[in-house]
Amino acid sequence: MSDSVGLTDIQSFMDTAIQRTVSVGNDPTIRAETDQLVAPNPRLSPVEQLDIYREQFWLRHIGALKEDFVSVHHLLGDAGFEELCARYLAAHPPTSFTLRDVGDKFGDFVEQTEPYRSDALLQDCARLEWAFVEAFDAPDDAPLDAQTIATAPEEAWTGARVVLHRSLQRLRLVHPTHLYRAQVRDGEDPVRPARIPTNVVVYRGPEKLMYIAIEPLAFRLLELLADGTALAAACERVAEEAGLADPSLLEPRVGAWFQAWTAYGWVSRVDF
Amino acid sequence: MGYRQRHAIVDLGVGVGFRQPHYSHVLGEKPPMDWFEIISENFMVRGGRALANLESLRAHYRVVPHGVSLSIGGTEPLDRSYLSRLKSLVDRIDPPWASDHLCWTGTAHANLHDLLPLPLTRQAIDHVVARVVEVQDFLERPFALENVSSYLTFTSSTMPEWEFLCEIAEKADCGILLDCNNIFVSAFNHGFDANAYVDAIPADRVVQMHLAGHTDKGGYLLDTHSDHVREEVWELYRRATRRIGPTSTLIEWDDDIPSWEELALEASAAHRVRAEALAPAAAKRAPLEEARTG
Repeated sequence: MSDSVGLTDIQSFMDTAIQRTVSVGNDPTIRAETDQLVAPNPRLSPVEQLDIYREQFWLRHIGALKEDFVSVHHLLGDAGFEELCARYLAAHPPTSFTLRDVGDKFGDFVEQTEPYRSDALLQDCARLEWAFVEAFDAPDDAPLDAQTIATAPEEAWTGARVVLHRSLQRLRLVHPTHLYRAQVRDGEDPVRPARIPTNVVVYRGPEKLMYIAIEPLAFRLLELLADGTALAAACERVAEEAGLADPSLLEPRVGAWFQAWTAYGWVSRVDF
Repeated sequence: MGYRQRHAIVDLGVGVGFRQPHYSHVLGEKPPMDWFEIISENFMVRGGRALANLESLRAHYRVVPHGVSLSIGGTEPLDRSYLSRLKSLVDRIDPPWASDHLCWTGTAHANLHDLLPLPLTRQAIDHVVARVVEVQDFLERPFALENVSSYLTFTSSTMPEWEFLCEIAEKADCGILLDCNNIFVSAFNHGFDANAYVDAIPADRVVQMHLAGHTDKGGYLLDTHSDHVREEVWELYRRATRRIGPTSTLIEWDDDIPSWEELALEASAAHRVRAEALAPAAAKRAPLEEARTG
């Protein structure tokens, strides 16, 4: 047997054994293989030695998920959260080189898996908390060039496309989950919030991660702009969806939104 | 000419890991510290504060990257995307060397995010050597492998760990990052002689040393980086320093991270131990006094 095959076999075996939720000694086949692979020492059996790595796998990955999904953990408690993590990691073993990515499918998993999928607040929390992870290290964008905006002729705005900062995360939530999460992070034990559809934007400010709930029309406009729709067309679409007979009625509000968004740093560029 | 000489590896003094609880103090106050080590993967990111913090750190201190995810002993092909991101980071920092661990971290099926041990065999040596050569060629700068703490002994191992490490370093022509705490932890766990390990390491290949605390779990020691350096590890460091000479040294403290003041005191302790260990050698080099007057 060549070395690479030998190493492959060893690593493949350890990979499977380490991801077991219970001791490798509980399975007679794995126990026998462990006894062949690992030498006992005066203090620890082969199974006990391999179980050290198995325990560390769970401590490390559940610990990382706990850090990222504080309010999911709060909702489920220690045992419930650990069970969710075990099921999640079994379905989606970590494959990225960095622990930062370990929760990248957590929101989808919660949305698709019983009993979690029937808990809308849990889904809100999972999606919101991953948005913070994404915003944290999203690519940097140059700040908006105010001069370009100021000197653009009015007619240029018709076809203008607004490019948003890449840290911007948009979430349509079923509850004011951002407030619930904030209370959890402050060490409180908040009651489950009532169902109130809430549109939240998470983004990276100059120093810290920021979040804000915004009104539905503004949120819709933001969605259209993020999809690459030109500003004028996006405004028309929002007005139409809102049932406004005259789209120009929206103009003063769009002006105010745009002013706020540029102040927040959400707009990185306008392509005329 | 030895590895250190050929690559003009300098002694940076005693440094500490750049860790989040100290960011604001270090970047704001710029306290005295010889150098900082960063965990490479924490800065292999697309953007955000991490890179801004790194730039601020670099403006005032020497910075050396230390990776945890290269998986030099893994049997999957080296991850080119990972290597490209590592090279970008290394090129940005321009450090005197980069390092990672002599271990594997996962398979195609899963990344276990652990420093997993290799069987100490000649075949494993050949496997790792080829990959180290590939990494060094790609990074285009000195690269060092660190000995890891381990908790299991493979029945297939045919040599002591120091022989394994030294042969890889020799054949791949790479540096060694000698972790004194890992030697101590593994020596306890596997029942080998820690002093024999230190004595077998070729001094000219050691580009850096690590010191850290560990946790006694009863039947074994766990490398937790969560406490002060134990006296036995200081003793091993003294021995290594006497043998190897002045070498860049780093205090690793990654869990239950103490205040900056406490961490800085640990670095001062390393300075003291280093100075004590090197004193006899310095005395030997001092001019001798002639009995008669000139």
